[in-house]
Amino acid sequence: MPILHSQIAAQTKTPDGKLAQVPPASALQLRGPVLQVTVSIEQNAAKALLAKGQTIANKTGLALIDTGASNTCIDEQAAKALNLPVIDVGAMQSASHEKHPCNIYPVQIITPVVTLNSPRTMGANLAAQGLLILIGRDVLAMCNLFYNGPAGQFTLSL
Amino acid sequence: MLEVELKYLNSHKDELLKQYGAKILVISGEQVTGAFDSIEEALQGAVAQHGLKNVLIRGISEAEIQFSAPALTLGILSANPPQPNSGSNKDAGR
Repeated sequence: MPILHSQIAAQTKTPDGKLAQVPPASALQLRGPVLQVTVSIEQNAAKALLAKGQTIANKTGLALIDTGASNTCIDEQAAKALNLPVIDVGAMQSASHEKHPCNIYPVQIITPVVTLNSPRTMGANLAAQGLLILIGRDVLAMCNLFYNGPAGQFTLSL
Repeated sequence: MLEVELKYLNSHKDELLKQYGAKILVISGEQVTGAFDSIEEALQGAVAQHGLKNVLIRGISEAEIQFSAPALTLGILSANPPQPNSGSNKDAGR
């Protein structure tokens, strides 16, 4: 069973301008469960592209695991840069704004240990928040997630 | 995006349901170009036929996906805090 185990690290500046490590528990609270990922087109679509002799574009960035998100999202600009096809349109709900349409893209999320298939990934403006991917409950439905706050660690397994 | 395909699906639901049942359809323009048993098969078939062109892939009786991510819509995700970060995944891959 593939297991991704991660401890979050962060640094801060002391009053005299020196860099100091933030304790892992605080770093996890500040940054959330983030991990470095590479994204590309969904693996079955990739197979079809490779069979046609085409190459698969990919992009690397940060993913945040968000148990508050019903669905997984990809940064809209990154999806366009990867030339991902739009395969449907969904609606983003919000308590403070009207529903608005979002493109849906087929994506796979590659971590150092686990590859997550996300055939219906919503496009959203994530780059402004330093993110490439938001991993939501549709992908987490296939995973076990263990959040160890006191140790500043989380574990994701398929 | 995909206005033509969505309009076609919504206005031909009954006949498509009779013809394709629970299949997942690939629709390009006003034409069904494939019918598959799973989203994975539909993606492979759609890309094999259409490459990276935008096409609608949806089950006939599937509703539009309603997506909710409160932290995202409120703009309060904090993956990019003011402190410089030293990276993550210190011991990934155990």
